[in-house]
Amino acid sequence: MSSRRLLALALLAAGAARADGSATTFFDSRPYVRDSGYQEEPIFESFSLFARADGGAYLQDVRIVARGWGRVTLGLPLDDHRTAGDVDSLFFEGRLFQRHLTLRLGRQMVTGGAARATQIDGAFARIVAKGVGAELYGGVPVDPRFAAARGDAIAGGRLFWNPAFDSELGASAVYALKRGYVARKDAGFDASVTPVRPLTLSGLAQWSVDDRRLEEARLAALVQLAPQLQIVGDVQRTAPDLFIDRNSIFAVFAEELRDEAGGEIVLRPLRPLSLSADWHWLRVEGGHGQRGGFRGTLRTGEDGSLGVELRLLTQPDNGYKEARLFWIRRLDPAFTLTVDLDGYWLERELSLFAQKRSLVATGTLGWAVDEAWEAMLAGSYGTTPYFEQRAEVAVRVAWKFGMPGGAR
Amino acid sequence: MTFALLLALLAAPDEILFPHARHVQAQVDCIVCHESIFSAKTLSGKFLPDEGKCLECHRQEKRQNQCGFCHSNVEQAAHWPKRQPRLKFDHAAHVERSKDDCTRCHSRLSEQRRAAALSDGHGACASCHNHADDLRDARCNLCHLDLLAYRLKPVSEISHEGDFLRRHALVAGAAGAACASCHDQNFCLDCHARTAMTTIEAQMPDRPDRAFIHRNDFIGRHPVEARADPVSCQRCHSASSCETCHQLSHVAGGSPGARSPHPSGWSVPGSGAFHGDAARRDIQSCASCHDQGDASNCVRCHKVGGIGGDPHPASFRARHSISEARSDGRCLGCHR
Repeated sequence: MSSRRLLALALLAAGAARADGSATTFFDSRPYVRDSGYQEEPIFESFSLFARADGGAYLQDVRIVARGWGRVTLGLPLDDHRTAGDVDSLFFEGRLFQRHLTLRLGRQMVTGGAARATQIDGAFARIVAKGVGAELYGGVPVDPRFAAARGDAIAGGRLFWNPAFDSELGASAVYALKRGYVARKDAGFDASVTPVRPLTLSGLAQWSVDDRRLEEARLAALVQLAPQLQIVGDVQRTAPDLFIDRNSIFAVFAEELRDEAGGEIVLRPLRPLSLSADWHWLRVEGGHGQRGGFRGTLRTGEDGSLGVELRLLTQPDNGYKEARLFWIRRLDPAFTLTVDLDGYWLERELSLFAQKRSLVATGTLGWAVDEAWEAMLAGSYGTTPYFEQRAEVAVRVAWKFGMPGGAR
Repeated sequence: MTFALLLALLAAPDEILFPHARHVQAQVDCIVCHESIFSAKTLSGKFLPDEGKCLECHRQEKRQNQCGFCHSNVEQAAHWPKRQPRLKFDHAAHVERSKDDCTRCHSRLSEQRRAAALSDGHGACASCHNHADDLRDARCNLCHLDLLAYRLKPVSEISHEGDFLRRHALVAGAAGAACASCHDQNFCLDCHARTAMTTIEAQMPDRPDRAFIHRNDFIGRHPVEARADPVSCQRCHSASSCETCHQLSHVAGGSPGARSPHPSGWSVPGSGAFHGDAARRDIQSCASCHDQGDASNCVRCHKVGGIGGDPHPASFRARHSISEARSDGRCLGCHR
């Protein structure tokens, strides 16, 4: 019996109505900064699975989501482990009471308000009725390779009011322990409101309860003057030291403040042409700087495009200017070629490294074998501040499956 | 028994064979079988006829045990499958407006052994309602209850334009449920997983058009990026992850073959390169190599009575008392 049939049986037995997933083999030989250049050659195998069923009268939209990977390193491994692996997500989700209550259990990511984007091993519940709701979560924050330290825990929640699909206001709190000490104790307020159709206002403020200081405040206004023209203005104030875990010895030394203000404009004068430009003024400890950029993309036929990107970043200690050109060309329905030329120039050299210039060229060839199988070969060569010569080779083979009815 | 169980699992589930076209030809009105839908304000409910309704016309076949007349798998004959509603839809209001003409939305119906979509999809809605703005702005949840159940692929009009990569945290923080209507968690984990096997940029060099943070030689300019926006790094990477990578790369203090990255004058106050000023400006850089808690080399000199003196910023004493230092575990490294 084929593995596909076995998987189908397992999913049928679990009551799943639909399952989609993939298995990917990936080889990536790339250099690391160690002993004047160290080339690691790992082979990864990853899988993802998304199974769902409608459920019954009490439990609806049942989902099982899983994703994980394993690694074998050829030659000397950088981290001294020849093999490694981890689970990115593995959770069960269902909705009850006519979809008013969502429950999720297992390794998952919680987002929203003060939670930011945090992976946890734990439970999540979301209850909503008539646009008003609450989210609660608790568990152990995820560390790579199952290395959760003793004494780690996280709990939090968010109350929200969702008057329309495009508007939501929320108040949230998060409490995290790391090795038994308080790592985070934050309260937050967030909002995304569309008062009139072309205007969307988004805001977020987060307060460190222990330090009685503003950790982060952000406000952005997005205006769509026409389908072809979008303008965004935004301001941001952060206290970067408060983003270090409160139990780190370094969290008590610095009192840093960073401000940022600027905006962006996106213009689509013709359907295949997209132009965007952004600029922000930065204030950091010890001075100020700016970051900005331009990007133009021209779609050339089906799935093909030609793009140019220019970027600039300056800050009191250093800065860089970057220019990039990329090209995607579909040779025939099965083969796709890409080229990416990327160069940047630092204002000052980095500690211990004399070269200020980086030039990297990358080319890939993709082959869509059929609906389920695809393969990619990539090669990259360049000269960078850390490496006089830098070469990288990657190979990816992916199998997508879907049941019933084949891959989507 | 195992074989029987396998056979049972592998057998195609029962399907009720209903030829809509023949019933239409026989001038059986929709309301005869679907009476309850005409007054339904939502799609939660039972809108398919029970066996009794069929037997009003087909009792003869039942009496003659012609089970296959209606059931595709007689051995596992079942009722209509239960369907969870996927749309917010008020049939009562629409039936009134369409003057009971169901074909306005249901022009193609399923036939015997040939399943069809229940309705004509977006085209049917757009024949009366202007949803162009909703499609453009991805306001799908106005009508759809569970987008992840569809074979949907976003069209370019609702792609996230401009510098959305930098802006998306703000949007997701306040309206994460809207994001989740199209993106499942594995999509977020491509970039946000602390457990990920390698960076998404390394896995997808064939997508140069996508906005990635760590593309190509990001490693060469990461100190500049980190100094300009340390919070952007700290959102995903803890200070200890910086230290781990620097240790593995043999550039952190104490690792084999490491050379000191610090400039001359690093330990001389007022030299212009004094480490105290640098630390105040950019403590994350220090933490990226020296975050060993109580064993950090800063503790050695800056503990109470040490030669390094008080490292706290001027406003620190106003916000914290000495009694707090004696009760807070993280202070005890220096305040023993």
